[in-house]
Amino acid sequence: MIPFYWASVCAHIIACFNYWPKRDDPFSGGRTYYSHPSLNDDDKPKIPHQSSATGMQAIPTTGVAMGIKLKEIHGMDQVYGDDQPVVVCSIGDAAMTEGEIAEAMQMAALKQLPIIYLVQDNGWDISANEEETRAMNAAEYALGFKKIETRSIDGTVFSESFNTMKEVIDTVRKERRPFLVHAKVPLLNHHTSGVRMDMYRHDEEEVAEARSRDPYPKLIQELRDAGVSDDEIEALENEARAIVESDYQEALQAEEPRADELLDHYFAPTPVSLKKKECARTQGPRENRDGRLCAFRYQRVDAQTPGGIAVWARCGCTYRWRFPRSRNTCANLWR
Amino acid sequence: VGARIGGVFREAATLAQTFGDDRVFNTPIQEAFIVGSTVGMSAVGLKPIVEVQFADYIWPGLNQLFTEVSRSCYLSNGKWPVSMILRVPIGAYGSGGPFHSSSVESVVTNIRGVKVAYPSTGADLKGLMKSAYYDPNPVVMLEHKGLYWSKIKGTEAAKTIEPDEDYIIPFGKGRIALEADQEFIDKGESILIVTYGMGVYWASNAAKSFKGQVEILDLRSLIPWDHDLVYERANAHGRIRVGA
Repeated sequence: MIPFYWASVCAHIIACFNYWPKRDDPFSGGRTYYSHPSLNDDDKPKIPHQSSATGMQAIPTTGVAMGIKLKEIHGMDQVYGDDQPVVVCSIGDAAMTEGEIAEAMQMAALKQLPIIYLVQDNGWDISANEEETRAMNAAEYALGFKKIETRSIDGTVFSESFNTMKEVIDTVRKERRPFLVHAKVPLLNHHTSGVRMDMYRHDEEEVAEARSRDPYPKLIQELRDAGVSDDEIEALENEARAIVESDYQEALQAEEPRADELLDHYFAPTPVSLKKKECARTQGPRENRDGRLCAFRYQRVDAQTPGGIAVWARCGCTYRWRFPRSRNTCANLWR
Repeated sequence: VGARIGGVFREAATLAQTFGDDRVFNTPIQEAFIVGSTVGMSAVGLKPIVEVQFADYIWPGLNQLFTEVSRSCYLSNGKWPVSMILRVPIGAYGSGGPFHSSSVESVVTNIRGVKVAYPSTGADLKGLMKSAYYDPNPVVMLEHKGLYWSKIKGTEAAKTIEPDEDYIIPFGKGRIALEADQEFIDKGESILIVTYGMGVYWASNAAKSFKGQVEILDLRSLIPWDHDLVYERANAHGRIRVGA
């Protein structure tokens, strides 16, 4: 099993297909809003589904960590050595004020779950800023939860972010306990496609302040410091542009979701079913009153019981029961 | 549901003793976590069976049920169905007051993506629980508190012999809990009552005053529900009453 992550791992192609709802969008088949990843591929970190409601991912993600811990307790997990699964809950600073965060962190602390709450703090929710909405940042909030260790980092510096996350992930893999990483970042653009960038900033000074913390120029500088030449950097940038342009064109041409598939996947198919041909119900209920047994054959097929099970049970039209291993007393007592 | 008490209605009594405190355990009182954590546990391949202790307290967990649990399969294009069972003691008995007596099925059955069962007997509870266990989708199991131990007079029939280990009832299969006499049906003097849970016993007791004239259909599961049986029996009687 691959470690579970909640963090986004969007490739460009995924981002493109998800932005314009297309049938081949690997997250939702064109059913959901962009930036809502969910993946269940064998060769990638798993990303369960999450809604748009801010902070609501904390509990399901903590549930992943609880599930992993329970599997470890019961010896249901595979043996990974030092590479035990890690869960990452990616979350924004404003979502941290949701009440459900407390429930999630309470359980992570109580059960010492292998989870990392990765908080990106840009100082804004969709329409209100940190001064208006909270008395403390996420790392300070986490102090209220015993045995959740915290790290605060400048999320605009790649090496600091990478090294901190590496240290934390390595620790959680070995020590199976919760962390919160609080990363300070700027709001460079807008919150969502429905809000304009300049609504968050009223003057040049505010724009300049946000731009001064743009992580991209800092990353370029770090690359130069590490000895990467400007030519190499430019080649990388050109390659990235070409990939995005090509994926963009591909996404525009891709097939739209099909109307006749709109109602698919409300439910996954259940293995519990019945074979109608074995039922005499079409004859009407009265035919069965004198004790002639009418039965549906219910079948379950799953990995644990090859061949499934066959069950004789009462159908809607008769009072009588019969079981595979007969219990004759039942027929009357159950009336 | 933990070992010491086994739930406020003893509905999980002996479970922890049998299976251990690591498989049967209490959580803090936090309904959102109880409901929502099943999304994650299901994602790693477990089959979580969780409980909120009164239907009245499903509301603090409703957000997770509606926003995350019920939508996961559809909005992930079928990749992440949430296989969970939510047990909910429901309904009024004794003197529970306004916040220990609610019936919530009218809301829960309107959440697309959640199956809802409402058994009226111990045997049906077992058969439906097994169906819920093998179902890859979320199932809300509504259990009327007055039927536990047949506490309310007139519900003695809820107490049944335990069916054997292979017994299972698929969702969407109703049962006829009481038949009417053909004579009355032919004369047009009969009625079909479609109900579930405690309603089966209210109807059964009322039917004693109209011997042979009342047929009672117990839906057993509300989502999905047995359209075929309801239409068939409604056609036979030409008269139907829905009781909840």
